[in-house]
Amino acid sequence: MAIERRSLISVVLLLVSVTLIAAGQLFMRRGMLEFGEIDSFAAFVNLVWSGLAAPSTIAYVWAGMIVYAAAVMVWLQVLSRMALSLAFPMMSISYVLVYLGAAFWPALAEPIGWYRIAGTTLIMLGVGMVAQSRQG
Amino acid sequence: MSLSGVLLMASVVLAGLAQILLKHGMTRAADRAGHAWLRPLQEPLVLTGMSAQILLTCIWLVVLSHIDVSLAFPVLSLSYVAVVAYSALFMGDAVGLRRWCGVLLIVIGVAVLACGH
Repeated sequence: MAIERRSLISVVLLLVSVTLIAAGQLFMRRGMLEFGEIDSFAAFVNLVWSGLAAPSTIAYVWAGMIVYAAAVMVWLQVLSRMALSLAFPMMSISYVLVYLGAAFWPALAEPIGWYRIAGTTLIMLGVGMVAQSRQG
Repeated sequence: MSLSGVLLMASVVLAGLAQILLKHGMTRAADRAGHAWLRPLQEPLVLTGMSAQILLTCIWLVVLSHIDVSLAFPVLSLSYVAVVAYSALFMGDAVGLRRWCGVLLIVIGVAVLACGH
């Protein structure tokens, strides 16, 4: 029973970490859509400057970076609780979450298409295989 | 290739490089004396790896200002390909058939995404 409880907590932490990674990416995209395209070095300096001087103007970007940092912290907890070969392939769930979030969050409304579904699925399978056990 | 395409590829390279630097650095840091949480911060390779991560975040934001996240995020997985190739070539890791198949799937997947774009 104690073992079951421990592994349940690990799985929950893993799902939290994967969800936070996806949320971080979506927030950063949302924030940069709001900020506008960066096509010059001056525009980049402007991004950094407004980010430091007036953080609320790029609130979504900050939220994305903070959520992402939190994801890394939770991920380290996951790694200390379960084998890397078991945990890492699960990270590929984040591709599905980013895809669905980007498609269905009205603020992003990214197009759904067969190329994206097929490409993302192949990458997901590939990451799952690369990340699996050290041998084989 | 457009500016955002070049920056996307730079992100892939930086992400792979950061992983490799951090891996080497953390291995070296394990041999150092001192507090477990402070040791890594005395290791130049770890600090370089962390700087690469910060630079990556900056470039990534520029990429996301141009490209859909559902397109850009999966492409970042090409960095795994770089790490697997590096560990096979320079670290002497035995990379089995399954991993090379995984690498191939990632490359094909990115090619499919690029075709759709």
